[in-house]
Amino acid sequence: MPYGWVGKLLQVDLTTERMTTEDTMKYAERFIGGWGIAAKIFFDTFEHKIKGFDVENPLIFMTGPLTGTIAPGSGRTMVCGVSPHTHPQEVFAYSSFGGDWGAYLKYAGFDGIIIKGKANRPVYLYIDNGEVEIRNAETIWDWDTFSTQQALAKLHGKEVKTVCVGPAGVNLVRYAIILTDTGSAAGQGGFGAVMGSKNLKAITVKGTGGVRVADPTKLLEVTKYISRLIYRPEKPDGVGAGHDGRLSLVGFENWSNAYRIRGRGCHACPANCKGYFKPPGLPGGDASCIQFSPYGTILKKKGYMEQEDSDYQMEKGNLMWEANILAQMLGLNCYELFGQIIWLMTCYSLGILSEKDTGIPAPEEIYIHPIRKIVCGTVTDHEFIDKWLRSIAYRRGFGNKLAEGVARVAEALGKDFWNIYAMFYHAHGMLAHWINSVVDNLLWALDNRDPISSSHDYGLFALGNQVAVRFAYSTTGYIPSTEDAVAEATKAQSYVYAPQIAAAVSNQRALKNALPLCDWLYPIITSPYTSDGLGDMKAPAKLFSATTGIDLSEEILEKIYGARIVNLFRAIQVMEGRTREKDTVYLNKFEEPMYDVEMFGSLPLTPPLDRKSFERIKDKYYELRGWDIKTGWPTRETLEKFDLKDIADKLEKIGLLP
Amino acid sequence: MGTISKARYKLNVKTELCAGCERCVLVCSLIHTGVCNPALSRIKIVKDYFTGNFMQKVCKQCIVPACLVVCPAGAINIDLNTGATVVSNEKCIGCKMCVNACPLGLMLFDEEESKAFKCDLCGGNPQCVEICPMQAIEYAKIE
Repeated sequence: MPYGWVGKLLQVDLTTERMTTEDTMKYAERFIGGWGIAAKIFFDTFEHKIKGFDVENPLIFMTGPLTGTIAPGSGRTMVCGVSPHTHPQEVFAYSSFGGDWGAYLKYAGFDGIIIKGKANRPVYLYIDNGEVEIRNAETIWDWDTFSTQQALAKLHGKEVKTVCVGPAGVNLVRYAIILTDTGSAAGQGGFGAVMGSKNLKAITVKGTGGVRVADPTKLLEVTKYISRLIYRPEKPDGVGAGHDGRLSLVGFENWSNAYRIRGRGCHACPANCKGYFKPPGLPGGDASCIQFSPYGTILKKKGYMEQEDSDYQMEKGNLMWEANILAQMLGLNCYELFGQIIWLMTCYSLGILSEKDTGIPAPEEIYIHPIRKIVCGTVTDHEFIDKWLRSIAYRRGFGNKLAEGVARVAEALGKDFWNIYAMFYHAHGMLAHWINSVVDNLLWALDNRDPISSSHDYGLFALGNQVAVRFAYSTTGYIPSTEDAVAEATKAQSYVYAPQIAAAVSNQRALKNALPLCDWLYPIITSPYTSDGLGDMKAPAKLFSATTGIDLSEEILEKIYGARIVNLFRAIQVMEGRTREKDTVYLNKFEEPMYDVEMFGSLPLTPPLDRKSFERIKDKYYELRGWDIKTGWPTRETLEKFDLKDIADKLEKIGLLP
Repeated sequence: MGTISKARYKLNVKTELCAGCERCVLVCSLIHTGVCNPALSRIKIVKDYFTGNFMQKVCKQCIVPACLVVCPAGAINIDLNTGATVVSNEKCIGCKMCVNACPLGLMLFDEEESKAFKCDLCGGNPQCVEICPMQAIEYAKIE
């Protein structure tokens, strides 16, 4: 048996109820785990374009060699398949969640689960240390996510871990989440609805096995070393460790301090960025930044964030919590809701939609952005939250339209609605997310979804910081080490080294999603605890070698393994009809300043992209990747260089090699 | 019986600080068995995600350890440096008398090896204390 991996993948066909296992190492040798293995499995099963709710869409849960070990920030599980959320085309996408479930799946003996087909009745999977059962879920089918997990824990024992979907998932809301515990969800991508489309309510695991480690002493040593780089022992309240986030506090210091019961971390986390909150009279649960941000916007009045008025904050904080916990229980993706409320309220403020059309009451107050004339803050009430969220999850009235996601509803309603949408949605049907640099825009253009959830690093920790840029991209060989080059790469609006940095970030991201490791912790570019303020770019390789006993340098892991997964993902995009023209963000981003709602309208707007320069950096990016410049497709030579001859053969057979 | 060691220590858990990351659980099984496996860990966390109540269970290093008293093989002794009650893997005959005797359910049993195991305070350098990012576990001298 290998170290790190537990060695088996579980395949479940819900149509035939047949269950088989496969050797993980067959895939792991080239693709490591997580996103890498999931993409290979998807590539192999691909015959023709499919949609998210098609019976043949495989829903893949995949851990990696580090999941379940003590490696800091390894408590992640990737979820992959064709996404019903992406727009205009439903394409292969990925999402991930933290918490404990992935670790316990490995303790139960499986590195991943591939779910195919569709059950003929509501079911859930129960995995007890290698024994798998498909069980009836009729009684709990439309239960909320919290009750579902509690019911399954009552039945199977309190030590079990469950991922499940709520009413939004079973009612095929295109941005339904898959949730474990109270705050760890695969959100973007709508894979909760894919579970719902397969009549699969939950997967419950009981695992009492373990993950073997090649060099326990070394792993412990590296773990302690990395923990010292990222956690802040002087702040034992457990919030905002590592990245100075106090993330779960955004804008609500008084409220958070009053109701935060404890810090919360995913499996093996040294940072514990989440908090468990319990305000009186409302359900308790975990939250981090995203769960709060939609409601930060809802509640925001101009200057509210700075407001010291604690009574007001306490009252509105409760309202924000009510909205968050209801979204989690119904199984709705908070990030999509964040964009949706802005869109909806802007339509209200412009008079093109009203309560009469939607059945959702107008908010008490709205705050309109002074330049863009779109709504960036409202003060709502209980009635609004309740009607808004429940109408979506149960697809009632106008909620039935909203359940399709803002991209689809805006498209169906017409041009005016689409134009409002496109102001703050960025590409692929997804809400803008860190779009203030050319590099991030290039990453957006190349992906199938919002890329930032697993590549916060450039925008957050390197941009504008020459020391960090040199360390992360120059010493690693992606950009030249001259003063000029580093200065250029530090500027948000520079095109010069954008392709090189985008290549670096996507290699590092592919590796991060394969091991898998937490996006907020890796790559460790900066550290408040070293004399030079820098982290350690080689940390993932150190963890990988100690855990698996396979000695590979960070350079090989990033530039061979990471780049191989990038090429494999590209091959899937090509099979789904991707061309160079489709590598773009929405066209208005080339014409008008960009608006990042996550900034609550408080930062200067990002200037529009320059079309010619953007095409030029695409040329350069394809060239760096060894892809054909005309089509943006990988060449046989490149694929073979990355040991992907089988991929090239399949592409050639269907005429998709340049 | 407890007076024979030079000093006595135990682990105190400040349960309100625990973030539930299970790093203490992982480090314990990793250093004692080379495997990351909560089932083989000497420290346990029971988490109720919904109420936010987390309970940590770890040996209290009793002054009169029932496990030691009941062991028919003389496999359980006091570590003279820490006062910890420790199981000798060589001498343990796997009879589970100690497992039944422990009032806290913290004498554990490895079914595969057929041996009892418990917290040995890592010989005086408890790794769970060091690895906990929340400083929720304290290595305390019993006065």
